Amino acid sequence: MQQVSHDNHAGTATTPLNPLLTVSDIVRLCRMPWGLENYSPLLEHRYLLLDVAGAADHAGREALATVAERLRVLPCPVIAVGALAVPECLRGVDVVVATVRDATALIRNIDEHPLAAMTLVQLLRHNEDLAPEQGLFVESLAYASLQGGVEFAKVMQEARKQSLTVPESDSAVAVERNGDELHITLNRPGARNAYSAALRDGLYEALQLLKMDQTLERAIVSGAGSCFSVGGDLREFGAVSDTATAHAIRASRNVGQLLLALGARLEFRLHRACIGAGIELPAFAARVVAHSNTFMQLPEITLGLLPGAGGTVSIARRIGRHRTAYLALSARRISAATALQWGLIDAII
Amino acid sequence: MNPYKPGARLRSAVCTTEVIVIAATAGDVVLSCGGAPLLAEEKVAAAGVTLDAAAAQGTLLGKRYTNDAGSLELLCVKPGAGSLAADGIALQVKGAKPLPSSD
Repeated sequence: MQQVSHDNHAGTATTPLNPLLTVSDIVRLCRMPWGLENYSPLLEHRYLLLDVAGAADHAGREALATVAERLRVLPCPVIAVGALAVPECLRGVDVVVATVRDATALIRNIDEHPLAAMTLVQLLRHNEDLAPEQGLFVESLAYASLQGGVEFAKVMQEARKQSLTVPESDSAVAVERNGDELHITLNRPGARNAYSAALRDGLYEALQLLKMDQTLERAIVSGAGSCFSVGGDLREFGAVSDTATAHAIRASRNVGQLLLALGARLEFRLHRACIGAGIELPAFAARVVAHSNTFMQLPEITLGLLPGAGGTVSIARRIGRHRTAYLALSARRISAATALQWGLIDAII
Repeated sequence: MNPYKPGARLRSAVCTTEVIVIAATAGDVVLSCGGAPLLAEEKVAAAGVTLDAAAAQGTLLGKRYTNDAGSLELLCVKPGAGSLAADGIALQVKGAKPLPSSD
């Protein structure tokens, strides 16, 4: 078991890194019923670091398959470090980084919000084998769980000290018809198109029109103002009375399900900030194009939450579970160029 | 006999409005837009019909319109200058019941 030198990541410089386990270590630990018992948000190790380079040299395929099954139910993120040498390992890991240093952004967020991190990777593992409709349902439950969690409560307590008002446009979503094309515009430029209840309902109504009128060949969705969308409206966060009701609201106005059903006729045109729901919703569409100034980010973990606008389905379908976990655990921005390379978008305009 | 079938597309004789019938259980009724009866897609408007200024509040794309009884419901798929009515009584926009944020 090799010990890793500590990168002094910002904020939590004193938290020691977990040991970097080798494949031999993990094979041995998996043989013991208590071998990984301290890997949990509530115990000593909030994530598992696994050196996967050269894995094939150390263990047979059968042993690796057993390890993968064990890791898949581990209640914390499994971070693979190095180039994956064998595909058997892949099923058991949640995210892959090149070096331990590359893992520090993830580790900082996991250390601060271990419940959110655990729930996220469990959800992504689970959704990998599910039909997308089912995945959306489970995502809402997982999100509800975190909405009731201590991590989100702490963030809300700090956020309540500030309250802002923004100038509102008449209608949160503008709809125009041009022949057989529907143009849907997110229209809260004063709030950088934050995904409020009003915006959600406007988008839901516009998509119902697309569904009803089969003569509409496609709909193009864009955002008015300085960016496409900064995601969930922080002014509305913590507003819902209880998490069971929150789940019921999502089930009753499920924009994700509509986007999923209508995806083939949808094109999203993105510019500048696409944060949280601002990239989760576009990722459902058959075609996503972005201006070269676009960036994407999934910052929910920093609030003790996970992407809850369908992203654990839509983004994972486009870029896979591991890269989705990387985005959501690191909360890092990626550029349009990276998004294109990963397949999160289809073209840069 | 009810001439309006759910799913049917109707268009205004006097403006650009087009609707899809969502529900029509009101029995004998004449649907109009801008004061003139709505036409089935293939029908041609009679010469000389014009928009009635008293029925010119306009229609909104993507909005559902309904009567008080709720027995009629139309979805506007193309907006226009006329307003929708059933037997001369204006239909009202039917919004989805508001739900709060789920955050």
